[in-house]
Amino acid sequence: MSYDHKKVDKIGKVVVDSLMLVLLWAILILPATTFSLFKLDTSSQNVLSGQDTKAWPEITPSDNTKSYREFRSETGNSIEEINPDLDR
Amino acid sequence: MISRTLIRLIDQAIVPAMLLLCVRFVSMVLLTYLFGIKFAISSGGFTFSSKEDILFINSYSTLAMIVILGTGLLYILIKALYFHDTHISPQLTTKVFHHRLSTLIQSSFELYSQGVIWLIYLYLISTISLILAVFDYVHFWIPVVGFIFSGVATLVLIMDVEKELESTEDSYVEEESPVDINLEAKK
Repeated sequence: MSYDHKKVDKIGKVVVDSLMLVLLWAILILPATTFSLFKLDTSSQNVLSGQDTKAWPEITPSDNTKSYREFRSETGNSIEEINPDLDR
Repeated sequence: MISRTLIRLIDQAIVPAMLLLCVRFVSMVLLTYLFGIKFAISSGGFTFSSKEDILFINSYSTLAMIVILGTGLLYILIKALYFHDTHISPQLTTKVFHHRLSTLIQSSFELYSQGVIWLIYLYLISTISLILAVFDYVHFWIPVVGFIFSGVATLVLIMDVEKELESTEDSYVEEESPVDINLEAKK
């Protein structure tokens, strides 16, 4: 079985050239990849509305004599807003 | 021939790539330190608390990259215009050798491969910053500055190529003229 060496040489050259092109492109694009490194901290923000995900600040009842419902009504947030099912 | 050109281009692309990466990180660290901007390093990259901080850091570190690329291109263009081996003046050649700066004199292949690579970087950075400017992640004047630099550098490089072509044509005429004289002498 004989090989056409010229044909093999040509195919080899094309493969090597295309690999080198890929390498060149990879080097060229390297500095541009730094643009994707900067990110916004979305852990405390609602991305869609731009509002804080915690609609109400966390309240820990300090007065043990009052019920949870009384404490909530003092802070200004109605019980319906917190959990509408509670009033039903 | 293609392989030789590609190897040359790859060789020329490594140094500016490393330089740009360094400039990006150094400028970012300097800006955050000077303006007291807080950031966190996570697996995804640098996380900032507000979009204004990202806009500021992104814009000015991109500007630093563009300025570095512009400076590098200016050096290459000065070499191409005044120290190009095809059209450097004899007086300047004497001066250059006298001061032992003969490395400044370069061939067309070296100069154009360097010029093309640095220009590609400048166009690439300007285009990406333009895309980011559309989404308000970079100030809009940053890509404008980048494209102005790229346009001027491209124009100067084209002027040098024209000069090169003129000198090549002149050398052809000089080579052909002695043959004409000999033919006339034979007649």
